[in-house]
Amino acid sequence: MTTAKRLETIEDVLTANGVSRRTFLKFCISTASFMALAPSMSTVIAKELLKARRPSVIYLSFQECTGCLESLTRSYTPSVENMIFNMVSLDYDDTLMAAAGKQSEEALDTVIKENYGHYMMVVDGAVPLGNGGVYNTQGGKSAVQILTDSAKGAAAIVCVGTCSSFGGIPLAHPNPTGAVPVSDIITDKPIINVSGCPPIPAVITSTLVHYVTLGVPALDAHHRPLAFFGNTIHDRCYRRPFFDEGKFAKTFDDEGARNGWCLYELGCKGPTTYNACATTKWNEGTSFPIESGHPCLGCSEPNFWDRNGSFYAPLAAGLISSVAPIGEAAGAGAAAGVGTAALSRLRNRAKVRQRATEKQTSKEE
Amino acid sequence: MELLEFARGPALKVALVVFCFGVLWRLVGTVLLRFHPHLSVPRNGFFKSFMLGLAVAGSRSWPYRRFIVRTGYGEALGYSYHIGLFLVILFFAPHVLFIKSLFGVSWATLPSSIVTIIAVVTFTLLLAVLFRRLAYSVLRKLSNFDDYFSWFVTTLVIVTGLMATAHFGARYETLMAWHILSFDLLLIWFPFGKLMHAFYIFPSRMINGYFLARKGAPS
Amino acid sequence: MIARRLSDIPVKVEGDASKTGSTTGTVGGGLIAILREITEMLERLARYDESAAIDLRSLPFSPSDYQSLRESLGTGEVEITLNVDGISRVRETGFAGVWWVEHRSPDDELLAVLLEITNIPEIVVTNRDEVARSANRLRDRLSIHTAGGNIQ
Repeated sequence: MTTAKRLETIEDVLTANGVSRRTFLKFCISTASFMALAPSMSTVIAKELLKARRPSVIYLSFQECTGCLESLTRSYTPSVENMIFNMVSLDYDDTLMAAAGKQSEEALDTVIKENYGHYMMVVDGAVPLGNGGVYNTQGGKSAVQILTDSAKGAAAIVCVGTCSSFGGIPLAHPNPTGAVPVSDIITDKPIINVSGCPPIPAVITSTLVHYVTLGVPALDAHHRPLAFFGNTIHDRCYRRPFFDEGKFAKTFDDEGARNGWCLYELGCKGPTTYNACATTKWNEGTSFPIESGHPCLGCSEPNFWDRNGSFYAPLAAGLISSVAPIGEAAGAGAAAGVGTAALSRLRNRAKVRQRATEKQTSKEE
Repeated sequence: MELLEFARGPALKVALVVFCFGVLWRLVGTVLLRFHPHLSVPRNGFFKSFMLGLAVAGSRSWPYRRFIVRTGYGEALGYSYHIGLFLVILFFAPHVLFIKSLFGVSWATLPSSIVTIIAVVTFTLLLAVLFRRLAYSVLRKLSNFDDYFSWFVTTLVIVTGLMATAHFGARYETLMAWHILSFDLLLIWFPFGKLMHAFYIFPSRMINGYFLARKGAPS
Repeated sequence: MIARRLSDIPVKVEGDASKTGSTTGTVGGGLIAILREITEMLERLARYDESAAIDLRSLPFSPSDYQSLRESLGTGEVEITLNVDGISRVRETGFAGVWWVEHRSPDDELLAVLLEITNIPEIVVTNRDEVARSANRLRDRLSIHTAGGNIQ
C-alpha cells in the first residue's frame, strides 16, 4: 500500500515473495488456456510479465456494494488469483487500505502525481450525476469529480462489475441518483468493461494480466474482453441439449426442474447473456446459477435489472404491460367495420333509388 | 432502449394494435355488407344450405380431379408450406411461450431440432413458390405488389428466425430483434394485404356454397 | 465439500466412450486431424528442435473424444507429478516427444490440459537463475554452519 520503496519489476516481487518459477509458469499457462490464447502465448506472457514494471493501480469505489472486491479477494484459489496482487502495485483502494481520512486522500494524490500517464484505474460502482453528484462523496469531493481527476493521468480504465460498466442497479428504474456508467463520463481513455454482478474472479485477474502483458485485449461492442464475453451462457450451457429437445422445466418444482431440464420457460436470460459462467463456473468450479436450478438473470448485460420485464418472464414473451389497448383497437376496428358497412349500404341504397328515379323519368319521357 | 426491447415492447404493441384494428375492421365490414337479394324461391332450407356450404368449403379446398395433373404441383407446394408454417408457428417452444405471455394459453411443443428442419424445408418451399410465380407467365401477370410483399414479409420472418436459431450473421439478441421486428411488420401488413386470406378463405367459400345451395345449384 | 458436480446432473453425452474406446475402433474426423497435427509438430521437433503445444480444452472435444485421443497416444515411460500450487501431472505418451500435461489448482480444479510436443516440458526443467539462487542459499547456510549455526 505504500508508495515508497516499491519493488520495480514483477520478477523482483515474485522472487522476494518466494514464488517459484514453476508456480509462475503454471499461472501463465492457466491464464493463457483460460483466455483461449494459443499455448505458445503462455511463454510470451511469462516473459512479458517478468520484465514488466509493476503497474500502479488505483482502485476507486463509487456506487457499489463491494461484492466485486469480495469476489476478487475471496476467491477460493488464492494462490492463483491473488498472484495478481504480486503483479500489480495496488496503491490506492479505500476499502482495503489501512490509511483513512486525510492520509488516504493524500495517498491518492501522490500515486497520481508519481505515476502520471502510467497507472491503471480500476473502477467499481456507478457514478451519480444527479443534483451535482451529491449522492456519493468522498473527502468532500463528489464521485464524478474524483473520477475525472483521477482519469486524467490514467493509462487505461478497467471497470469491474456491471455498475461501473453499465450503471447496474444504481441506474435501474427510477434511477433516483442519476447514476451513469464510467464510459458516459470518461471518453478519451481506453476502457475495459469486466461486467457481472459480481464478475467471475478469474475473469477480473486474467483481464488485468492480459492488460499488463499484451495490452488491451480484444473487446466486444460493450468493451468487454471477447475471451470471456464472446459466447452466450446458452451456447455453453450443459442444459442446452434439453432446450434443443424441447424439454423445459415449467415451474421450480415440477418433474422437469427435478430432472434438470432447460430453464428457458422460467425466464432464463442465458440466450442473450454473454459471460463465462457456464464454462468457468463459481466457487471452486462447483457450479453456476443454472446448475443450481435457477435461471440466468443476465447480470453481465447492460440494463439487466429492467430490460426483460421480469427475471421470470421468458425471453420470447412480449414486453407488453397491458393488453387493454389491443382490445380497444379490436373494438375500434369492429366499430369501423360497422361504419364502413353502413356507409356501403347507404351508398348502395342511394344508387338503387337513383336508378329507380332514372327509370321513372325515362318512362315518363 | 435496445433494439430487442423495442421490438418486444412498443413495436410489438403498435403492431398488435394495428393488426387487431385492421382485421376486425375488414371482417366486420365484410360480414355486414349487403348481400344480393334472393329473388327466387329457396330450393333448400337454411340448415341444409348451411351444411352444403360447409361441404363446399371442404371440397373446393381440394384439387379438382380433372385438372389435378396441371394444378397438383402448385397445390401441393401451397399446402406443404402452409403446413410447415403452422407447425413452426404453433409448435416451437419460444413461440408457444410468446403466445402464452399474451393470451395465457399454452400447449405441447415439438423438439427445436425438428422445428428447425421444418423451417428450412418451409423456406425452400417458399423459394419454389416465388420461382413458380415468376416462371409462369399467367401467374406473373396476375401478380401485383401485394403478392410479392406478402411473400416477402412471410419469408423474412422465417429467414430471421432461422438466423436467430443458427446464431448466424450477428449477435443473438440482434437477430432475435430482427425476427420480432419482421413479425411486427407482418402483423401490420396483414390486414391490408393478401395475408388477410387467412381469415377470408374458408368463410367465403362456405358462404358461396351456401348461396349456391339456396339456389339449388349442385355442389 | 462440493455439493454437486457436473456428473451428478443428467447430461447428454454424444457418443459413448465405452463403445468407441479401443484404438482398433473407428477414429473420428476431429481425432484424425489432431493426430496429423501432432505428427507435423513431431517432425518439426525432430528436424529443427522446435517445441509446440496444443491446448486440449480449446478443441471442440467430447469426453469420449478425449478418451479416444488418450488411447490412441498410449502411455510412455515417464510420469512426473509436480507439487506446484496444486498438482500438475506430466506424462509421456507412447510417442516419445509427446507429453500429456495436466495442471490442477490446490482444489483439484482442472486449470489446463495441454499436449506438449517437446523434449521435456518447460515446467519440469530447472531454471538457470534458480540454480544460481539455490547455490547462493546453500552457501549462506554453510557459512552459518561454519559459524556455529545449525545446517537445518
